[in-house]
Parts: sequence; C-alpha cells; structure tokens
Amino acid sequence: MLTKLSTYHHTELSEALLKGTVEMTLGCFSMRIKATDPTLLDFLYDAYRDVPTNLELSDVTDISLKVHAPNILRRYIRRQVIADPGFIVPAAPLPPRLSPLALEMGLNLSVALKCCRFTTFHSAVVAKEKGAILISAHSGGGKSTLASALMNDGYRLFSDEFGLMDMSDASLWAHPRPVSLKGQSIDIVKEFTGAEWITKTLTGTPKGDIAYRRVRPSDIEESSTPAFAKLILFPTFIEGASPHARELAKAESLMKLIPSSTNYHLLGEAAFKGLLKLVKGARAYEIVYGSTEDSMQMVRDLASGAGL
Amino acid sequence: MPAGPYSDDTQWCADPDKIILETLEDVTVAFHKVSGDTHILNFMSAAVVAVLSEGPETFASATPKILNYIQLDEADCPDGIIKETILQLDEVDLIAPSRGNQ
Repeated sequence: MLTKLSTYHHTELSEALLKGTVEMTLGCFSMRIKATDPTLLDFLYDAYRDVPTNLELSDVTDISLKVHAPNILRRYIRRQVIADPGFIVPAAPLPPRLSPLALEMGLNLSVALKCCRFTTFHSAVVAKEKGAILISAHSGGGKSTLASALMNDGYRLFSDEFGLMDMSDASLWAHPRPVSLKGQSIDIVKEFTGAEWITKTLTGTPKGDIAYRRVRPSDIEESSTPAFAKLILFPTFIEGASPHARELAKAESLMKLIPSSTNYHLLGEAAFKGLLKLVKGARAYEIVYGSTEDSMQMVRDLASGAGL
Repeated sequence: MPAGPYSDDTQWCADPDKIILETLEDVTVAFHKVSGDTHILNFMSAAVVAVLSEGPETFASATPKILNYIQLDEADCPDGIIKETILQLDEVDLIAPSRGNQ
C-alpha cells in the first residue's frame, strides 16, 4: 500500500531511510533510497511530500540509490556525502548540507544510465490533454524555468530533466521529480508560483545556488498517463535578445535530438524508429529569447499553432 | 571505417540488411544498424546507397546507374563527385568493398 511520504512519522521515515527501505513511485519509475544524513530527511519531507511511498520493499525497483559518506573517515571527520547509484561514477564528495543535491544528481544519473525501457533525452516535458511539449536544451538553456512557467499555464509536469520515449509508439512518459532551479531562475519561478512551492535554497553548490520547485499532487496523480509530442523546442537564452523562432525540418529536429539522448546508440534500431515517429508527429522550432515573459508568449503561439 | 587501398576495379556494395533508409520531407535519413549511427544523406548519397544496395558495382559501372537513378546527364554531374561520394560513404560504413575484392 502506497501512501504519501508526508504522512509518515519522522521516526519511521528516518529508520526506513537508514535501512534503505524507502520506496517511492513516480510515474514510470520506482526508486529505493538509502541515506544516513538528516538533511536529506528534511528535503524529502519538503520536496517529495506528496509522492506515493512505501517503507517496506515490495518489489525490485528501477532505481536504487544510496547517499552515504565516501569512506569511513568522512563519516565522522569533516563529513562528506556522495551519491551511489550502484555503479562507479566520478562524483565529487559534497558536504552533508548538500545531500539533497547528491540525491538529485544520483537519481538523474540512474535514469540517464540505467533505465533502458525508454529512449532517454536530456529535455523537459510538459503536457496538456491534446499533447506534449518536449524542450531540449543544454544546461542553462532555460528548460526548467520554461517548464515551470508552462506548469503555471495549465500544463502538467512530466520531467524537467528527461524526455522518456516509449520506442514502440513514441509516447512520452512522466517521471515528475522536483524541478531543479539554478541562480536567477529561482527568484523568477518563485515570483510566479509563490515561495511556498520552492524548497530552501542550497547555496555554494558546484553549480551555484540551487532550489527545487515541488511537484504538484495533480502532476503525480496523472503521472501514469503518457502523451504524444506535438511540439519540440530547442531554446537558447541570450540576455536581452529579442525573441524569435525558426521552424526546423523533421530531419534537422531528429539530428538535434540524437546527441541529447543518453542511450540512443545503445538501443539501436528501436530507438531510431521511435524517434522517427516522434519527429513526424511534432512541429519543431529553435527559439531564442531574452526573458521568461518573451519566451512564454512565443511558446503559447507555437503551441497553439501545433494544435495544443 | 574506410576500406583502405582501393582501385578502379574495386567493387562497392551497400548491405540493405544493415541500413534503414527513411525519407523525411525531402531529406533521406540513413540508420546504420551495426554502428547505431544516423546520417542525413543528400540526394547523391541516397542514390549511391540505393544503387549499391542492388549489387556490387565499380566506380565506372555504378556511375550510369546512379545518374539514371537521379535522372541527371553525365554533363550535369561534376567530375569525380560520384567517386568522392562513394569514398565518403565508405568512411561512415554505409557502403563497403564487396567480399569478392578481399
């Protein structure tokens, strides 16, 4: 029986976290978490409070992540944590106060490198009843900010980090974890969502200041319903730039999505065929913008033109 | 990977079991099943792959068939472009010397 994480008492969640029996289900992936640091407990109560959670393992999970000290010494002296997704990664140890960042980075690595049921694209996805918008951008391209703004426009969140494509029909599946906001985008998103939706800011991280926008209960409740992409966006943020969009040919869109996938080559022919279906079913644009307001007006117009 | 030394007698072929060709609007996209690489082909490259998928050809024997495929006269086709295209396609493994050469 899965219940919301926030309904568990502090003590029982803390014990389960230590034992590694916290099992959360978010859309298409189940996750098992083990951790020793209390900072993580507070973060889970805040950012994951509405996520269906079980404190007794019921099945093999897609993801199994541990957040622990890199060695016995760093468990006690000048304490540090690392994310351990079950395979060796060159992760820099972080101070315990940044264990939420270690958790999120570890979960991202796990989805990117271990989950091959889907072709995985480094992109944000949001959807309405008529279809989805897939936003593919490098870090700093504004996909999380844009996804947050679109959530306020009535879209449900699939992910701000991954487009998860079923290769048989090119449907996109949701894994709505908290939206990662960096630097200036924290205040921008706080302004239009309200501060109550944003976690405490983690300062001085290797990526600058980071905060997370909590996922809405409705995003979680509807996370088992896939959607088909109607619009693909490749945004570039250039401070002060006037907004403009260029429609891409289908082949151009396909070739731009391939390098954003972590497992396209691994999955081979099935991924190619799925990606063909994806680009055939969606209009694609490169957009350049200088502010969130500019980008939103442009995206609304493009979404309307794509039948959303 | 390129074939290495070749001659005018080298016979080239494309293995249709290893390549998926798909037309997207006016562009041909090729997926190579073995390498997992995806390529955009211009009309000349697409014609070369299509013709060499039918069977092995030398530069000389392939040329009229490729020109016929794209409905061009020899006079309209710059010197050496077919040979250059064959060598480029060899570089990305979409074609290779046929086994009879080895």
